[in-house]
Amino acid sequence: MNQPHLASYLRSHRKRSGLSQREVAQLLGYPDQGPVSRHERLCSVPPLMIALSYQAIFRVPVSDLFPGVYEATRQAIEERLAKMEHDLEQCSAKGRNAAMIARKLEWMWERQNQDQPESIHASEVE
Amino acid sequence: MHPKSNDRRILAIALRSRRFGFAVFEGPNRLLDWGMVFYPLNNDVQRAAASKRVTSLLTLYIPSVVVVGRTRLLNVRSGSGVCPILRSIRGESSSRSIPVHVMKSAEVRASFHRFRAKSKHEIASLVAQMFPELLWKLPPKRRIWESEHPIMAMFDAVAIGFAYWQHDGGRDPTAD
Repeated sequence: MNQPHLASYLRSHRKRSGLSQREVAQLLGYPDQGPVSRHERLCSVPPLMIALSYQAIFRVPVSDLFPGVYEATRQAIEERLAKMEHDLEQCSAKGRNAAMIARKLEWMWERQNQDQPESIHASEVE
Repeated sequence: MHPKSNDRRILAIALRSRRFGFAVFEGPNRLLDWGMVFYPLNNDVQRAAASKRVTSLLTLYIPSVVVVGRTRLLNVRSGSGVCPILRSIRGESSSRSIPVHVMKSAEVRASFHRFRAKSKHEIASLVAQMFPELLWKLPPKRRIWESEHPIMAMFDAVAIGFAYWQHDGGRDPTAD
């Protein structure tokens, strides 16, 4: 049986580090542990700066810290891209516009054929 | 460390009369969460809070099976804190269609025999070696006149989870 992705591995990484929620909150600049607890339970999604801070603290890519959220976002993007590709293919344009559409379709084709980037790595962010 | 969605998650629980230890596994080699929950006897409010903690663990980790270590307390003290907690574990699990597997302590011990770990402390030490993140929590060896350290329930939960993987880990409980 394939189990669904866990929404967040934040708690797991924090516990492995031995840090308390209060200590992680301190590192993130929060006055108390409340937001960290909410992020662990995914009662609230952390803002971009905080998500990157988690990546910096645990040295784990954001997409691995929140695989459930990442997978849901990725699927939504893939669906929208497929729709956009379909719309572009149906589009009848001439001259400059046709070249632009061709470029977009080419990029989408390249994108489909290239390997899926597993995650954003810490080194890339730095 | 990349999470693998095909690794089953299990929630292992070791019950005591006033507390329980828990451990969440994803696959046999990855420990996601662990800890202790305390509940005093004859306090329904706090016992309800302990049940709520089980609910939150089930909600957070969505395990494919809950493994509970069988304890003598289940036989002799029907009115103790253990039975209501086990009832609530069964109730919460069944409402989520999660099977509950009760594991005998003999089965748990048998899983560690091949590692030559027989006593509780030897088993806990072995568990701490397998999962180094627990090493700092390992209590010193109990002396004959001392009572068991409360944290041992957590090590028992990890041992129960490990034993489950050894015995039934290859079998999908939802496949039946």
